[in-house]
Amino acid sequence: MKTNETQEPIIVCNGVNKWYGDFHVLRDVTVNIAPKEVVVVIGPSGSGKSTFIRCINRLEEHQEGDIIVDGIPLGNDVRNIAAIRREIGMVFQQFNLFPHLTVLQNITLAPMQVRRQSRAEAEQKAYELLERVRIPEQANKYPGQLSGGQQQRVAIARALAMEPKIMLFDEPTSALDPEMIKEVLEVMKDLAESGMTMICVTHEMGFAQEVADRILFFDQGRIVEEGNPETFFNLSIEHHERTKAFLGQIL
Amino acid sequence: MTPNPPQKAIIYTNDAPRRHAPLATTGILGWLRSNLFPTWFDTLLTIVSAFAIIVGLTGLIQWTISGANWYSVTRNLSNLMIGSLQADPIAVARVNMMTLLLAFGIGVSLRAWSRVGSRGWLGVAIAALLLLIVPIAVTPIPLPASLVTSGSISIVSGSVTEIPQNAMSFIGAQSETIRLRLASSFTQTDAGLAGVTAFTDRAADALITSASARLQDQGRIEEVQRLIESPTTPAPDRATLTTELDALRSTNDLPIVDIYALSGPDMAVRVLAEDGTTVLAEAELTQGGDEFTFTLPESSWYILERTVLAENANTLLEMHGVYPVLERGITRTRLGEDGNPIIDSRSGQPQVVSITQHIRVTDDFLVETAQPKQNGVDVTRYLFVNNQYRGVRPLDHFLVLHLGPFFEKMGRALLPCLALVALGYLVMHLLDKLYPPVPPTPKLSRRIVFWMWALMPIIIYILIASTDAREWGGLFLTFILTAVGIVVSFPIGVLLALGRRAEGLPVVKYFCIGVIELVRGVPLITVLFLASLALPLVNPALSNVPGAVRAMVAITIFSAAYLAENVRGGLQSIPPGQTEAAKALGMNPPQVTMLITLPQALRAVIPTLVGQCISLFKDTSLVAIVGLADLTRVADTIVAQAEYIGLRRETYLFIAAVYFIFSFVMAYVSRKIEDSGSGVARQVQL
Repeated sequence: MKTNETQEPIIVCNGVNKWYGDFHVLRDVTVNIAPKEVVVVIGPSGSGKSTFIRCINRLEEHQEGDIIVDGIPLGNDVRNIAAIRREIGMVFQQFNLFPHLTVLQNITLAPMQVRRQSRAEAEQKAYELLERVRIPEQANKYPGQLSGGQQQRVAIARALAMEPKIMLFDEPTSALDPEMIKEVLEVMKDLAESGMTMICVTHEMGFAQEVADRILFFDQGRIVEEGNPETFFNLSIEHHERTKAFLGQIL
Repeated sequence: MTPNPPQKAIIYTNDAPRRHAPLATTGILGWLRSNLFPTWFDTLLTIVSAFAIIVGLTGLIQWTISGANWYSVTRNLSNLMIGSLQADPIAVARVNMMTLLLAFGIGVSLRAWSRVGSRGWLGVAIAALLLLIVPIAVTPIPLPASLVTSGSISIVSGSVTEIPQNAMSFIGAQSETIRLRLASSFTQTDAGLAGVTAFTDRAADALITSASARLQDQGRIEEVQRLIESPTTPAPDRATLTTELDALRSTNDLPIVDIYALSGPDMAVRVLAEDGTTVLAEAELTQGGDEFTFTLPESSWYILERTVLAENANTLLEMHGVYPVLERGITRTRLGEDGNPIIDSRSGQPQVVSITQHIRVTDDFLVETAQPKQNGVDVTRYLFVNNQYRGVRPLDHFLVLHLGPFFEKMGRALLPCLALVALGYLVMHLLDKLYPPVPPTPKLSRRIVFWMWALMPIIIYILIASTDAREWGGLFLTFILTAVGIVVSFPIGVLLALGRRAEGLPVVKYFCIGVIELVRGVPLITVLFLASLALPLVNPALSNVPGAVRAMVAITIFSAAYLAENVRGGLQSIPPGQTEAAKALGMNPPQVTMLITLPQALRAVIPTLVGQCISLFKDTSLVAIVGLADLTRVADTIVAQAEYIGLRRETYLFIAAVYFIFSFVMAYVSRKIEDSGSGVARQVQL
């Protein structure tokens, strides 16, 4: 597999703790992620998996512990946050496309405004990305005119347009009809094969089994188990009892 | 039903054919059924409301045609539009230019942002055609007659006693013909007299009023007589009725036409020139005799002398071509011999002269010379009695007296505007055809529109800045107040809304909350009073600022506070995911606001913002209270003038229509923006 134990990790999480008010939502989360690694985060709802990946690009603020992305420590320093966000692309459950902009504008906005690319450059890149997510013909439509699967693929293209080193997926297929899930997963699979570092929160076990290098299982704000798909989904070997219960439910 | 064979799916192959929907559920019939008569209760509501609408509308239309007197509107259109500015021809030219410029701009924008379909152009063409044709079409309709009374018997009508005049002055244009004859057709019976539909002088008016009163009394006499003779009437009532009958009879022994001996005598008439002495024509009119016609030699005042050729008799004269005369005072810049205004050496302002104009009610003909005198005494002019055309006006008189002149004046104002709208549209159409858009860049017309509207305020400012803001009035002032209120309050309101949401900056946040709540907690009228009265107390120099500008400031502040709350509502409606996605893409907070949340928030609140514009447009009528002559105030002053007394309903109805039309257009445009998809429609996801 692509995991290279000797390589410097691109994301370091060390003893990350977070509270919502007095509710301890992340408890001592410690994990290192290597470049080009595909990590799938699973777990029951409310287990803190979304909160965890949202901490990585500072959409949520962690209160204790260290998060270091590509050598940049994440803290209250606005410049560091900006630098880290430029390295990380994110795809959301609800797509969060900008409904007042066309597909093309959605994709080119950030490269032009944040990376200061020229319009021509950004648009050329956008067309390439739309080709890659297999919807080049939708460039001048508005998000409201697209199906959910198409919207999510635009969202992926939008994130990729910033040329991130890391992609975060927060349940990218949970809001989609079954018929559309496949087209999004295929794009994600392509992306994984191209060597992108990915952290995916998902309930698609087939995808996890097929694509993941490593699976993190979250329960009540902690990582209770991690392993590669072969061992994780193998019910014949020993598991944490929460994992067993979870796998018993879904397999 | 056959039992399912086990382990086998049921496959249906008999595809039901596609058919048309039942006739009664589609088309007009379906619409009627589902919208007007779905249940018995809806049917009842439909019938009741249809009845109410029909009764209301027919009443209104009937009154409009036969009862209402629209002179206060048709004679004051320019006053209602621009107020006192109408006295200054340069200012009028500037306002006209501004209006035409705006019309052109509207045409350009129409082309850039939407399409005017064939139906739209048809509507414009019909409107233009009506404005052109109606004034011409009504010209062959003869004008109503004028009835005046002369003689020696004073006419008593109720508590009013009128002495018939034997001389009156009137105005007429060169080569117009006047026709005079004795009004024998009206003077045979009281009923004939009461049924008059014409212009009248005071004496004839009193005569007609007393004739109708007498007819009424006569009807009452018959009724009372019937009651007295009826066996069912109780004795005490009968006594009262008898007393009433005696009273009625004692005052009404003769018909009105006989009391004033209307049908008897002949009359001598003389037409005198303005100087009061030169006799231009004279004639003797006999009952049933020939008409006397006379062609006026010049545009001027004339005096008509009438002498009844019998003792103790009155005569009703029917005139065509002689109509009541209104008086209007205006001020005008005094011009020197070189044609330039004379500047007063002390004040530095142009000198003005007060001029009295006399205007014929039936058209715009006017003279500026003084009323003629005889023996040093003014000859009373033919007055417009109670501002009323006497009697129930027939449709043809409505058309020729009111509709024709109204359309003519509206046409003069609107036809150039319509032409420029069409021109703007056409120019942009050709430009877009000549320079077709290259996909990523928008159409040429859109880029032009953007710059045009960006420059428009500056051009308009240059155009009107040199006019005296103290003289602004009418719809023009209403528009300026509204436009400035909207345009200036918009950025302020947006900033206040953003400030109010600035969680990281408590000082800014609480300052914004303070401003918003303070202004929203005070009525607009109070803010206006503060701006116009209290500001000079703060700094005496501020008292030199024209009231219109002070009102603008007040309206802007007021509008900004409300706008801020509306925009804040829009900002709150944007899902947090939008901000998150923008942040995740590395945008900084100003970028997130300017590129993501604000554009969406503003689109989401377009209906509310337009609603606010509409109420602002109407709220500007409050400036009347601080002494500014906006549309409402001009209407107030018009109905306060002696010549338009009693014409409140017509005047206010007209300005209500003006307010309505512009509000409706704003609402229509807002609906179009929403429908076009640049509004909230695009937010539909999934």
